[in-house]
Amino acid sequence: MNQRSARVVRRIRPAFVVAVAALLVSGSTAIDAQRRGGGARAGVRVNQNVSRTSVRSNQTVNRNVTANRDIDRNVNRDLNVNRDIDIDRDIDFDRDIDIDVDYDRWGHPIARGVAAGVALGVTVALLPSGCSTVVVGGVAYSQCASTWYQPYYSGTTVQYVVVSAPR
Amino acid sequence: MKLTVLMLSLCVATVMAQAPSAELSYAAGRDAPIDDRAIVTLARMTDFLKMLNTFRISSESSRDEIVDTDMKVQKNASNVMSVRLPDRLHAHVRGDDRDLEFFYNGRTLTVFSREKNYYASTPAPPTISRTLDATRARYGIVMPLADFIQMAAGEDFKQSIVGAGHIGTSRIDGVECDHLAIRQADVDWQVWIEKGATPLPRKLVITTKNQPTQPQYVATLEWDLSPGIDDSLFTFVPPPNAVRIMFARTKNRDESPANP
Repeated sequence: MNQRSARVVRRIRPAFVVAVAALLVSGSTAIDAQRRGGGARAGVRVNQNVSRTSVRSNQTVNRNVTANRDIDRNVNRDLNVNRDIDIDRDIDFDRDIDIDVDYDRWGHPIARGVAAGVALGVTVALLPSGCSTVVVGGVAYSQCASTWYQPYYSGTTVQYVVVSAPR
Repeated sequence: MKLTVLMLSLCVATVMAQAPSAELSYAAGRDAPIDDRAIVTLARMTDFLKMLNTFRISSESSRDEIVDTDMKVQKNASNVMSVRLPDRLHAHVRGDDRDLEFFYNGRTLTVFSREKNYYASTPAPPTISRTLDATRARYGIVMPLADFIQMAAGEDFKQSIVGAGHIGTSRIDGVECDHLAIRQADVDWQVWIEKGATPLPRKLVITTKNQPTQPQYVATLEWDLSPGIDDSLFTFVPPPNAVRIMFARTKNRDESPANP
């Protein structure tokens, strides 16, 4: 049921696919995003170039994970997944969510307005003011006027994806 | 004088005992791309780490992020990693705009943001080593100082090394250390290893070479090899008002830019 709300937004827009493809290829989207932003976007997207914190390459990690089959969702079958509704479910990053979060020049997240018409699937790193947390059917939402967001962890950062109103 | 002779012979003995493995051949001498002395010193450290079972690392770290296209800014964090091999880990990361805790008890991994009061949990593999890898591959989360924890868990790092030099003797927090410089395809790194009976890493620098600004990560480490750790530390119990959310899967399997 968690997935339900996210699946509603599975309208894959071509521009979004391009954005994801750019991420996949380069892992660095700064120049790309700025070009894409042109004059139309309010903010310049933060350059995502950061130092690595591990000397081990992604290939090494992926090789281990694949060899151990640890990429599978149900890694531990002893867990009572029936009672823990969403314990083995993750949001599928590249299918459901517009990961093109806006940041200003100095790397601060930019909140998007609450006005009606924020597209489903858009992700923000900062909520507008005046939102409240609502839990519906075990799933947490942030309701900001008429717009509903679902918070999730993107890496270690909490981000919010616009979803349709629950129930 | 006597001591020097003793240390020298100890040194030679170490070299003999820990000769590099057969699949790699290192040229001798200080001018070689892979200096024996660097490899031997590195091996002393990894062998020592492998003997550890329960330990706590406190570290101060800084990480370059790029803003305004090409300007480096430094983000800082204080990290405390409590480890009991093979299957218990707790990490507390207090950094710029974040206060995060990781809990791993051999079955479940939880990330909890104290400031936001959000947590996410997922079933995890049965060892720290596999959990660190799975967390990185699935969610783009790289734990602080994961490399040293992987070394303690037995991971072999030598295959990726294309260059290694022993730079000299240095002091970190007043402790005399061997300073090594290591080259790999995509990163260069430096490690300062305590001299003497406890060859622990005291400082780490990673330079990311495949980005034009060559951002760096720097961490200094304090080790506690006999910490009192209660088993309850590793299992997350949600505070009354904490809200559970989901993890986003990452398909590009890159490091999270927002990492501590």
